Amino acid sequence: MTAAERPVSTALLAPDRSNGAALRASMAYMVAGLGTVLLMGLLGLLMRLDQAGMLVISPAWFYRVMTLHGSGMIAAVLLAALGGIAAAVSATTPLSARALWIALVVYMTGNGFVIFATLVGGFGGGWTVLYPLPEHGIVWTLQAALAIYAGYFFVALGLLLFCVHILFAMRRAHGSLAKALAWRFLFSLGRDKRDALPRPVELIAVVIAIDGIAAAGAGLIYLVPLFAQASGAITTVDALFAKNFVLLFGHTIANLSIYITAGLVYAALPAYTGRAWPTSWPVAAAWNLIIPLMLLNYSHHLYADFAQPVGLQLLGEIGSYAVALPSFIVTIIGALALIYRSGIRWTVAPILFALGLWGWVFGGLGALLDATIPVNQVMHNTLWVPAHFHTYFVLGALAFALAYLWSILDALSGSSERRGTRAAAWLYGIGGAGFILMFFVSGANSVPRRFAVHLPEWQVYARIAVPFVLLLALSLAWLSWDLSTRFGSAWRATRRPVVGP
Amino acid sequence: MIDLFVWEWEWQLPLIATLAIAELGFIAVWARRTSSGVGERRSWPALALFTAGLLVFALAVMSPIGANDERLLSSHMIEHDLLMWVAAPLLALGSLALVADGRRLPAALRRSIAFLARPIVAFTISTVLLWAWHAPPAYGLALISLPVHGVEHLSFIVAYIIYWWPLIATPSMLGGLQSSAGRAGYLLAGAMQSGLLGALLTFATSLWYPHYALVPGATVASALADQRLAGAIMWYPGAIVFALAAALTLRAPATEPLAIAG
Repeated sequence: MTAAERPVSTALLAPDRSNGAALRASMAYMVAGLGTVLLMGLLGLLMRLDQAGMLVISPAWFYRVMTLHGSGMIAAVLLAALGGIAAAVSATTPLSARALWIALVVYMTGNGFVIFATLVGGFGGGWTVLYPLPEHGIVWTLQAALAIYAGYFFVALGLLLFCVHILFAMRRAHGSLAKALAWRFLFSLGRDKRDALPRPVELIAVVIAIDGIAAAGAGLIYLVPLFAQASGAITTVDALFAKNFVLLFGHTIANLSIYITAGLVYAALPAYTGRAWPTSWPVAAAWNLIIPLMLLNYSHHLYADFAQPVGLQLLGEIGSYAVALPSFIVTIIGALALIYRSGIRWTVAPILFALGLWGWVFGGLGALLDATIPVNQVMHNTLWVPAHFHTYFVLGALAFALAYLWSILDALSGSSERRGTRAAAWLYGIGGAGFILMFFVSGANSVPRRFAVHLPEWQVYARIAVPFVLLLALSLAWLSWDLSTRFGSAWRATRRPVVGP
Repeated sequence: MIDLFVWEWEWQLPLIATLAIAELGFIAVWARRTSSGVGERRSWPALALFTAGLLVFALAVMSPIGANDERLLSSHMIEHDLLMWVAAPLLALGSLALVADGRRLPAALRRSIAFLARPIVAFTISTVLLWAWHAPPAYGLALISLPVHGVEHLSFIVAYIIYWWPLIATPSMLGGLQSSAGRAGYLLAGAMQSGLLGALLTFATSLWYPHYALVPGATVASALADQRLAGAIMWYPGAIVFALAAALTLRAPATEPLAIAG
């Protein structure tokens, strides 16, 4: 199959072939994101080896590694997702490569702060923002806490710049945000088709840009009083305010990753199945509903806080259930319908997309259980919680992002697929599933999360998990190596003149 | 700690003379280029930028910021920040007009600029000099010897003019980085290496430069607090400068064709 015949090329390239610069910036996002994922994954392996009793890490180092692994992974997967959505959108909507590069530099600067604060400064407070822990850790200084805040600040700022640019670009392309969100079509129950409908991926880009701005705004809002408190300008920050906003920021960012990468399924899967996935009324309705619902579900992480108003607790439960339904039903069922009897060839990208759908379903189910108040009271401080978010991160968002990057590099480079890489994609699923399953089993057996030292009776779960983590690491290393061999020619292909029609 | 700050200016005649000679030399070359009609970018803004760069240099070294650099490490770091991140890019921007047309430069100078402005060379020079001068022996020597201190500041200026050059020069000029990807990677590398030095200084648990604990009125504790502040001054504003530089130097792309037919 020549590059020109490759199915995804039509979904990637602008009709006038003018999105080369934006595509290069998008590829840089994805490569930077996935490269960071690899490094953070190695830190995850270290923690699991420690919990298995196979490697001894001091508690101080464990919490430094845990803080960097968690915040780094969320930032990295989001970065890869942002790159994917920018690449997909740029095929039909002009994006400024300049804006994308600036947002990337700012975002990566934030990552640098977090790395230095944890590895050099010794910060190990995880995501705790309540006085006195972040500012007065036993093994780190106030400056380390300030550096972490600065890191989050720059990440939020980078995200904000990206999302604002997407909104402006979409408004320019469609005439208004209402048109980019297909509102006339939506509110007429699909009868009024006077406006040109956005592609699903464009609609999703607008949705996540709105929620991304809300999340970044929440991050900047909670950081200001924390900076003020750390500098001594104010003495106290309302604890409930800080917790709500840090979760509105962090949880929404984590959610954004999975929803953005789900958007990539709409962009690429039709090319592999040979079937169109247009913006139908259910698609428009589901994704418009995501805008408010994604901002509500964070409060299921605050059920244990007795001071949280009951109304917000209920909203957390209802929001968690509600946000799952439209996207699940429309995206999962839509994707499965697209695949069913399509004669799809199970090459690397479709395998990874299918794994992503699987991970999203099971991670989502785990999340729904955790969002159920009586279950949450028992399970929230166990490894059940890392189980659910690792499921939809490793097997959901990351699998989708990898699949999409594969699609791009495959389409642009024109290199033929290696059989070993297809096997690596399946092994990625097996390694990921085994690794995650042991988290779920640990959680079901009440093994606590965020413990640096595990009791001997808990170590068996981690010991079983370790070979699966190694398998996951090896498959990721293979996939990354194969991707790297395609990267150069794909990058150059975005510069070459068009050959043919 | 703040009690140690003394509001005084430190006039240095050799430095004033050097800066005046630099300004006059620049004006001479600039005027000759203007009168001979060489170069498209000759302009008053170029002269203003170069002059502003020299003024910032003078301000950093002779104002109370520089006058306190032997008492407070934090003041010294502000001085260095001004030299590397304000004066150096201003001087580079001002000089840009004079070398816009590389063909008119002497061959040796052209070759030198082409070599020094290679990103890997420029990055290495700026990084090695920044880290070498912050090594305690070299830094300690600069604190007790005025000529060495002068050389330190001059080398920062030169090293960072070289660092900023590939970002400031357009792709068609000598040493200009060719792509946004290159510029973004170069900026991040610069931000990370200076950020790491700032972070190490911020989080150090012992004094790197014992000189500051020996200043009358200072203690080891106050010097350590000052050192933390100094590290933060190198680290945090640096990130903002690099973010601003990204906004200014990452250019909008030209419309480019793609390889694959849809």
